Amino acid sequence: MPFELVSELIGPFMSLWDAELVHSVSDYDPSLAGVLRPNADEDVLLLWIDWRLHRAMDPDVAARWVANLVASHRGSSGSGVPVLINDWPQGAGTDVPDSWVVALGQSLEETTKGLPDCHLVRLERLRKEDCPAFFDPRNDAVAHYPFSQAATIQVARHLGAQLLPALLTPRLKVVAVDLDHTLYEGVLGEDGPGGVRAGPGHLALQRQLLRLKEAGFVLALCSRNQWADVEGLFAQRKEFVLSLSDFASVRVDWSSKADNLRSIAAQLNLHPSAILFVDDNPAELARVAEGAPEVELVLADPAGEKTAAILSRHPGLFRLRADTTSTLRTQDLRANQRRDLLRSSAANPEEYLARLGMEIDLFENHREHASRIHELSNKTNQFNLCLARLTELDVDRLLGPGNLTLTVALRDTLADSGIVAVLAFEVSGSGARLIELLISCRALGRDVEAVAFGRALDRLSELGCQSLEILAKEGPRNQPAMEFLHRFVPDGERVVPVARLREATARAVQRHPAEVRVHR
Amino acid sequence: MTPRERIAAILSGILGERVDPAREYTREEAASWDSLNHLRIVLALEEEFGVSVGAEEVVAIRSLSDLERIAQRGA
Repeated sequence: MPFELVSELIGPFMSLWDAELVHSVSDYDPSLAGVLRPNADEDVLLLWIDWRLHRAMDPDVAARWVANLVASHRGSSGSGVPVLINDWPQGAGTDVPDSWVVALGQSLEETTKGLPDCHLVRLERLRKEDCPAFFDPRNDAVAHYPFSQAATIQVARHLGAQLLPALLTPRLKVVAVDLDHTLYEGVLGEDGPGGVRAGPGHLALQRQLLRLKEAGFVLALCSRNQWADVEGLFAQRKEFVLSLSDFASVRVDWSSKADNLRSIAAQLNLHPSAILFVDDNPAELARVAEGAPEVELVLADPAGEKTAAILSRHPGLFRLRADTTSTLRTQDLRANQRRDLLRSSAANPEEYLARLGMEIDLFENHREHASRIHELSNKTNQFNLCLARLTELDVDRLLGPGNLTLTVALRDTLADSGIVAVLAFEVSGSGARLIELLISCRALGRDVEAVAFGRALDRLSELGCQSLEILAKEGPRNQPAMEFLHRFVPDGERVVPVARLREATARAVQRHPAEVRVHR
Repeated sequence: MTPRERIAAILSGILGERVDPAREYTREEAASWDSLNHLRIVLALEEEFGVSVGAEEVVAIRSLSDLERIAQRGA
């Protein structure tokens, strides 16, 4: 099935995130034998399949056939390039029964779940979206391409503005919103909590924001209003989809929005470029663009509906897999505000850490943490020492025999933070190599990374490792990780004796009050 | 520009070679007039002349004159 009609429309969507499509199209080959080439250097491989050609196969067999092709190609070529495979929409004509298409979709979902870095281009889901006519029999008659021009644009947008940025440049983490004329119609300070109006568009926007939160994005509120009014608003308006507790960070005062967005970034331990800010006032957005130029901006539609549509398609606001820790993340980030209060009221840092009652669990090569490791490796920017950006295949390998990968879970008296850090080492004889050392920004400030690093070094020593090669890589935003390294390796050597590092970390964390448990 | 000249311009743009409106131009003589470019030509014709091309017509289009006949419906 030709892909050119889609690819020639992808460029404008990719330009939205400053990317450019450079692609090649294989020969037409229903067997897919020539598509999976060894030594390919693409960022992404797309298997664009006309599944109607394979209707003689049982759907389950067809899905396993393509999954096996991908797996065996990776096994023989060592390629870790992410793979996209399209499913098939119902109603595409010819004599393929919809029941076959449904069964194929289910089988593809199941089989690709088991393949690292393999994701579906869900044409059936796109068909169900608001598309006037998904199919065009004329295109099918001429070029064996069953989709309409409108559907082709939809597929191009899904690839260019959703799937590809999610695969290649995950960056946005926070959606911050204004209140007046954004989440509702009206001015809270004038109309009062009961007087502002929430139309269908505003409720659709609130539902979209909730979906983003459930997908793993953090919500923040940034508004020039009276705090009492805002509390009253969320308490009184029962039709609101969002509640105040959905926002991990709230700035409601008369400070400038640029300052408040910077303050939100600081509270969440994030770079301001991880924030997307939504506001209805162009002048306000212009001031943010001047005062906090890294923040990405969206002009809100006062009726809400278009804002919801923009957020559903904005590059960087699409997640490939469901996030299972979104509630936990919001609670943990809200707890950070209470931790700040605790820190400022403590007589010294030791007292602060002691009052937190921290518990740290270290898990050694726990395969069930694979997706969290992959997620952290690709989302963490500031405390990410090696910037390895592990693929799911890399993670699979690092959790295997001969390697040591520690995942670190943290809880304290204020919140359960979940798995917040990863330390991954390749072990070879008396030497080890640090492949990844990272910690989530919301867990910073408690020296958990030093405790975990010390325990990892103890384990490396047990395994007979005498030296550690550190593959640190300086990036635009990982200064905190580089400072951590400098603390223990002040001369910046690449290969360091494990014994020396153990001494240094042991000295640093000897009075750390956390209770540490190791799970092998 | 006459409709025929406008169609010749469409063909030139999509097929990447000069198409002279003064003479007939057929699919057989243009190596780059493959099925994908055929779809692009039909889409461009519909947009330029505000016409709708039926499924049977799409398959039957073989030349500049065929395209001109369809374009005249939008005149």
